Amino acid sequence: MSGPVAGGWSPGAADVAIDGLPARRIERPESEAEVAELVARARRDRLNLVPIGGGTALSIGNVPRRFDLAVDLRNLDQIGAYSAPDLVVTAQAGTRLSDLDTFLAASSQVLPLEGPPGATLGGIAAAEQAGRHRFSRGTPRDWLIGARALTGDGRWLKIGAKVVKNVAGYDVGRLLCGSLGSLAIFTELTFKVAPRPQTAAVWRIATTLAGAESIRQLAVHLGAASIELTARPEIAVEVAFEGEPDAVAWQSERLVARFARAEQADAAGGPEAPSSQELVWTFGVLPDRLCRALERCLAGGPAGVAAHLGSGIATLTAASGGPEAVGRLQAWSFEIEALGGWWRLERGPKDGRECFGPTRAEWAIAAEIKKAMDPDGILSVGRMPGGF
Amino acid sequence: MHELSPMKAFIASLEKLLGRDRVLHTPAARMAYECDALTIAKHRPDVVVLPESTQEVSAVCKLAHATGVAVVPRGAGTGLSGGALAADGGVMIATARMNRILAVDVPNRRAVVQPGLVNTPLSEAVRSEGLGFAPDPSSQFACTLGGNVAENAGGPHTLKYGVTTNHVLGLTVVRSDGSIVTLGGTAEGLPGYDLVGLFVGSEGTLGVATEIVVKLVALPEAVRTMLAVFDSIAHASDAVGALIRSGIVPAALEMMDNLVIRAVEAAYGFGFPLDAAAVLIVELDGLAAGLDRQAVRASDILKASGAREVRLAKDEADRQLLWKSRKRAVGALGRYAPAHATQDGVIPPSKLPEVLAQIARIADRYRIRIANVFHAGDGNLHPIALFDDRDEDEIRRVIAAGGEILRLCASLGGSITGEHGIGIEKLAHMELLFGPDDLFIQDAIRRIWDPEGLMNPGKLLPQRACGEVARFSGATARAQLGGLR
Ligand SMILES: Cc1cc2nc3c(=O)[nH]c(=O)nc-3n(C[C@H](O)[C@H](O)[C@H](O)COP(=O)(O)OP(=O)(O)OC[C@H]3O[C@@H](n4cnc5c(N)ncnc54)[C@H](O)[C@@H]3O)c2cc1C
Repeated sequence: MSGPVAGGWSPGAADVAIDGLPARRIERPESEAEVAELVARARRDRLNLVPIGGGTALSIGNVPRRFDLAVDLRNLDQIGAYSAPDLVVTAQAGTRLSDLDTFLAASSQVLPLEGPPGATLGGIAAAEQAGRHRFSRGTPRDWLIGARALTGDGRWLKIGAKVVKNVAGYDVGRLLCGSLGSLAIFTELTFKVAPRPQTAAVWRIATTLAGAESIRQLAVHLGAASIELTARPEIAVEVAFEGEPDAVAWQSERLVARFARAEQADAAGGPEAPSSQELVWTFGVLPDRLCRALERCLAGGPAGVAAHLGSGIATLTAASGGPEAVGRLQAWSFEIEALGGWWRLERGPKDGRECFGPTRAEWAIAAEIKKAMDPDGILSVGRMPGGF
Repeated sequence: MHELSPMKAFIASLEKLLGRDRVLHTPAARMAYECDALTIAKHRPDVVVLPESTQEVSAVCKLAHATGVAVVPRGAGTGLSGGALAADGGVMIATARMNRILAVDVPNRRAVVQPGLVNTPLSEAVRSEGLGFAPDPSSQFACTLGGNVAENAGGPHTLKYGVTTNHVLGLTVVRSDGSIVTLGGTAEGLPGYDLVGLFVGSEGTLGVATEIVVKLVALPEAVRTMLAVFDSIAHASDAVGALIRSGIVPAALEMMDNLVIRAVEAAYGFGFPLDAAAVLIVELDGLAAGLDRQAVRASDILKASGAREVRLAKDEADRQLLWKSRKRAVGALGRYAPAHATQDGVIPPSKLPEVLAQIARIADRYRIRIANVFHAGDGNLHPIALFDDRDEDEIRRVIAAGGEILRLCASLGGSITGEHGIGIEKLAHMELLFGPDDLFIQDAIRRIWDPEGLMNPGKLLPQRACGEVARFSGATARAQLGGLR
């Protein structure tokens, strides 16, 4: 670690930015004790400290007013206790998911979460990131069973246990998943893991938005592992089946019997690197409304689409994200809210704007929880829905 | 003029609000509500109300808040940790009349239900659509969805399908001041902290859930259920590890020891071999394609681990009887002793052989009988102490042995409760898992929802309980709590 923040820039800090706002300083702690020192310093100097991992999900969140200190946790990257027969693994927060995946693969096990290349376990949990397996496997909230984390007022929490079932006390681990580092800094996470599927088959079906819904219905019925829609710009749905070879063969047969134009695709990769597009906007609706929602949003002009059809969540992208995009965003959020959905603006005209909607009454309770766990207001302040 | 006592005035206001037939306050009427399934601790609420809507629950909470009366939510009262005990008296909000399914959305596999709905009827109502509600506690014929949410209930099939928290998307909650708040919703991935996840498992301390949005799961196309018979508990435990290591994910993986086998055989006559040291119930489900091959593989693994016999359920009736024997096992133990107490620790399943041996040694040391019937696949133990609840000395030994088992679980990186909750029963053991900072934060979270400490006081967190335990009535309750400390 280097010396105190003296208002100057530290080397490398400019590389880390949230929505174009660079970190004034970046620190790379190598131990939990150093993390604790940084939290103490942030409290003393009233800094806005943002914990970061691979930096792949920093576009999720409101724009903070200040970004004083980035705490890059990637030096905390040790995989710790692992018990294959108990389906439990513990690793430090800065461990890359891809490294953990390689490690688990040796025992034919998997943590079925996804993040862009470079994403860390702490980041994936804090951003509640889930890729195409969300539909069949859930999200970090479903896989995290324990953690060590440091609150904004410097309390070390021992969350959960190293067993897959546990209801002792409030589920603070779930609370931290999706908190964007605003309540506590994860330093160590314990996940349950699963056997790696023996076989996978991915089918790609060219279609239209109107046609995608019937593919979704059949894929859900067949028990697909993931159902993804892309528009690049032609629309296609990718359906993946995973598991026992006989079952996958049967599922594939049924899908192809109905959609003869289905083509076998390469094994579905992880999610793509964050889009380089200027406008990135994600929304969620009930799954059977997703294709309708996409049709309505795209009626106002073309956009790139990547959608988890099974879960009702989609991301729209467009090249132009300046102030001229504002009208478009208004139209999109109008459509999605009319369908009972939620949205978040990840890239675009974010400054000074609430990037989550529609506003929810429960955010007031969330704000109080923030105050309780980070009373001095030093952790990722200003990033959560509602602006706290 | 004659002044009403505050409680009498409160009850009069409740009667005005709900009508006299939905406000129970005679001693006889309150008797039925003096305990949950932790029968060792008893205390009657001052009054019991039976609201029928969110608005009525809200009005009751507002009145209680204004009067400073404690509120205790209650579903079916099958909780095993004293969560629905009116430890401090007060008003009990019983959800029995809020038992409707409000909406079923088949294409999206969701249902919206009231909290007093019993678990099984929900699955029955959607079965014709090929759907079900996954959490299947053994008490599912009686326990309510509200109770499942509050305890984050599990069951045999949660090994594959996940516990209650994995199946709840939204909640309508009445807070202690009577305000109504919606948490989550029907869509997935809502922005913000996971307050639904925080509420699930909060044991009625954060508010009363009055509407619940649940996910439904597709019923499996095919099921294969096996009974593996073992001559030693050690071999049965080894078989659990071998199955998990093989990469097979059973839908359920349950163990019963000899005491349990004999009791359920006498009660239900499934045909269990009475001389077996232990049996495993292994259920595989999924698509029909490949399932038989998987079943053969599982059967081979069980035999290689020392099973002397592996029987496949002949048909659905046979399978149902096997599950009935398992799910009603605790009740069948009644033939051994007048009372029983179920512990709920969790360990890594790979530690089963040594832990079950240690539990047997603990039972010997305290001169009590312990039967084991539990969720072996996720290491969720249920050592059940069989005792005479008129024997104060035996009660003390049961409690001491239970504490020792929980310490053992915690020392192995496990938990003191996998599904039954802390309630009042395990308050003293929270410190086995949590330090002062953890408990401080949890208490801070609780105060946000309920600053005055009126919502199910004395449960889940030790701090506030201390002063209150002394006020429990009844010799057994005192003995129990005394032993816990
Ligand atoms: C024989 C037997 C077998 C069991 N098997 C299992 C099992 O396999 N798995 C398992 O997990 N549990 C099991 N249990 C325990 C119990 O059945 C579960 O905890 C169940 O979820 C409790 O539901 P209930 O409706 O009876 O709740 P209650 O006992 O009435 O209440 C339980 C807790 O929930 C709170 N509560 C109830 N309703 C609400 C509401 N609407 N809002 C807020 N809080 C509320 C209460 O205040 C209390 O703290 C078993 C119990 C028995 C007796």
